[in-house]
Amino acid sequence: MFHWANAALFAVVMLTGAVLYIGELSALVGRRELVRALHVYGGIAIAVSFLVAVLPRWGRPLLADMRRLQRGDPKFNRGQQVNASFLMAAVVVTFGTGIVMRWYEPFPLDWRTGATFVHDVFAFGVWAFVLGHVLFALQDPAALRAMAGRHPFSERSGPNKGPNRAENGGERECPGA
Amino acid sequence: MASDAHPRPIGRRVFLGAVGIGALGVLVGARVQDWLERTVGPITAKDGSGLGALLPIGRFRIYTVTGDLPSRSKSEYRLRVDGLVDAPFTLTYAELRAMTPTSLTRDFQCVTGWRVHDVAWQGVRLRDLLDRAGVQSSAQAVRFVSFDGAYTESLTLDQARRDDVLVAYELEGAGLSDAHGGPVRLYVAPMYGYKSCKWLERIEVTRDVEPGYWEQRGYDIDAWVGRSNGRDDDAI
Repeated sequence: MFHWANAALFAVVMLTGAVLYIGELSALVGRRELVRALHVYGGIAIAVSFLVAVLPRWGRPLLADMRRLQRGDPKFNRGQQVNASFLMAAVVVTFGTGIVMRWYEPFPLDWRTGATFVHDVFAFGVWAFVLGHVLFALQDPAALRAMAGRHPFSERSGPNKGPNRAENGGERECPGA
Repeated sequence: MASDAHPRPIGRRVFLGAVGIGALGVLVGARVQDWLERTVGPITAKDGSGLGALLPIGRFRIYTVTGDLPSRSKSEYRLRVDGLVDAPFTLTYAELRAMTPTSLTRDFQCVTGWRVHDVAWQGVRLRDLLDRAGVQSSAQAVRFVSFDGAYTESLTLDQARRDDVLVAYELEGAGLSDAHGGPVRLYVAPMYGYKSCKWLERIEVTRDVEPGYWEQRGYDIDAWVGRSNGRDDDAI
């Protein structure tokens, strides 16, 4: 559920971002104030969704995956590790720079220009990584099954109750392990 | 930590590295961008079209606040100057171009941060149009109306009479495109971009300054670059 809510929000900020950035699309769509609001509040929603997703209980699967990423656990291959880590960093960076751009008053003009530049550069990165992520997932039958909720590791009620339990040495936060 | 179990985990390094670059970029990004604009910029277009112009260096963002891109041909275009003046008049595009032209090359700065260096503009000084109409003594301000049907802006009369305030019809040596507010727009060089009302169709001399489109949405009415909207350092 988190994945799809997040995917929908990413689609919103990526598409509205493209409309705000690419002149031809800006001209086509217009309504700058509305597009800007969708982009800003979509971005804030992503930040909130990550906060919710690391709350106790709800956050268990995400936190467990974050620990796996830190360790280099083989649940994620090298590309997945880079992808997830970059996108998490991009959430932090684009949120921070987005705040500077939208609520700019306390910040020096050069910071605003720097924040805009960083926001733009990371947006290109987000587009590249998300497109790559989707393309790889579409080529992988196991990933497609997982997205349909039939991941071998999460077949029953919760996450992390599957066969990877033993191979990564057990997760203390999972009761019943 | 079980980090020894798997060689060279890269997740944390990628995350911290990217966040670090992002934070550093806020502090030095303006200078990096300026440098890139000087080195790479000459081979990309400033007007925000074309693939090279997708690069985030020195490029315009195209703002339109209505549901479409306003467009008016040069032959249909009319500019009205009226309000508290002795002799209101209407100009065609050709009549405007026949007036004494003024050229200006200045940085274009958006209040939210994006900037484009050394943009060349050409147009007629707003002051010349005001003088031609004869501003009455009760007037204190000038209001600008866009033919997009939504956008307005205002300047005080003193601001409007500055040398670096143009009714512009050329950008980078070419006629203003629809996207850039053509055929004729306002260009207020010392202020943030939102003052430079696009698709200009009416200049109305008024008694008081009326807050414009973005100003009704929170922007400062005096939009001096570097000296408004939360900052009072030197104008660039």
